[in-house]
Amino acid sequence: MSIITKKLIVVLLLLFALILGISTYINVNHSNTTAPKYTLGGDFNIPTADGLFKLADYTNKVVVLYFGYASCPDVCPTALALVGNILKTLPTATREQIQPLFISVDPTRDTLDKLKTYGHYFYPTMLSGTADRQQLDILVKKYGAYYKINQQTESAMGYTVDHTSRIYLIDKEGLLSDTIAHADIQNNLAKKVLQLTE
Amino acid sequence: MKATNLITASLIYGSLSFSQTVLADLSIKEGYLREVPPGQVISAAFMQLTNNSDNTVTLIGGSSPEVKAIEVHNHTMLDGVMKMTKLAGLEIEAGKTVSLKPGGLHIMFIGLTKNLQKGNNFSFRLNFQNGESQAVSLPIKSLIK
Repeated sequence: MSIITKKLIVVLLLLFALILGISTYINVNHSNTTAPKYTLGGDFNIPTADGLFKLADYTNKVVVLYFGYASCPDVCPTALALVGNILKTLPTATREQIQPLFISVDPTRDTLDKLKTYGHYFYPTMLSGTADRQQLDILVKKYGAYYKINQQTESAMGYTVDHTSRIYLIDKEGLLSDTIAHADIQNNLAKKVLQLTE
Repeated sequence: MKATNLITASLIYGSLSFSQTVLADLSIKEGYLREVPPGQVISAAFMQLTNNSDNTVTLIGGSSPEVKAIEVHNHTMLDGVMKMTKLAGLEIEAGKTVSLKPGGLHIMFIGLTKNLQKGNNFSFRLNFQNGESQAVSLPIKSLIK
């Protein structure tokens, strides 16, 4: 084998290594960029009676989010009253870092003005919003929540809304930090909120 | 004529014997209604219903001039999803107690024309499948602390 051939082999091997390196680098980066696709939560805006709520504006607050509907007689008021009652027990400095947000998945019955009064009943600074179905569906999916309009022809309700009853804790960076199942709100909300505030 | 008188008499007797929360056959314990947030027209009542009679009774709902409809509803939680459905009737066997409590069975008040505020009582009738009804007056309680 001539020296030239040997040099050529070395060059080809180096080139191969380089290509392998680049493709590995691209693969690693590629998987990094696709990862958020499978992460729950994320940025959103939602209309409220006081204007558009933009999550991105709440970088100094922990957002305590709940999806429900105002004519829900039991589960939603229970969850929202727990949120309000528990937040009221926290020190003022902590409370100032918390923004409770109620999002109604029943825009047909729940107007923004009605929702504002409804939210304030549970906690004085609770914000409440809703949007059109398309926007709600995107948001609900983004947070891994679920709702379904359930026609009730036999009931004066007309329809009820099946829905997940869960608290979403969004940290000061706007990232979904934790969720609390309905049955665990009483025991876990204060503890988890305190972990996210200063 | 006699039969009509008898029916009238029994109706009068029946309505007189309905006391506030106790009827000859059914007793109610720990009953209350939820206070309603301003602007809302829906509420729920919870209670322990005991059938003291020798027969099964079926609660089908209720009535009040201040509510469009009073129905028996149930909640079920499946895979974290809360689902509420109307029951055609809630059977209570002889001697048994049925518990209507948050997250489960409840009496739904749909279309209230009166705002329910804590500290007050709310009167309505519970209606049963056999045509009987029972007058009830329950305190209104708030979830807010």
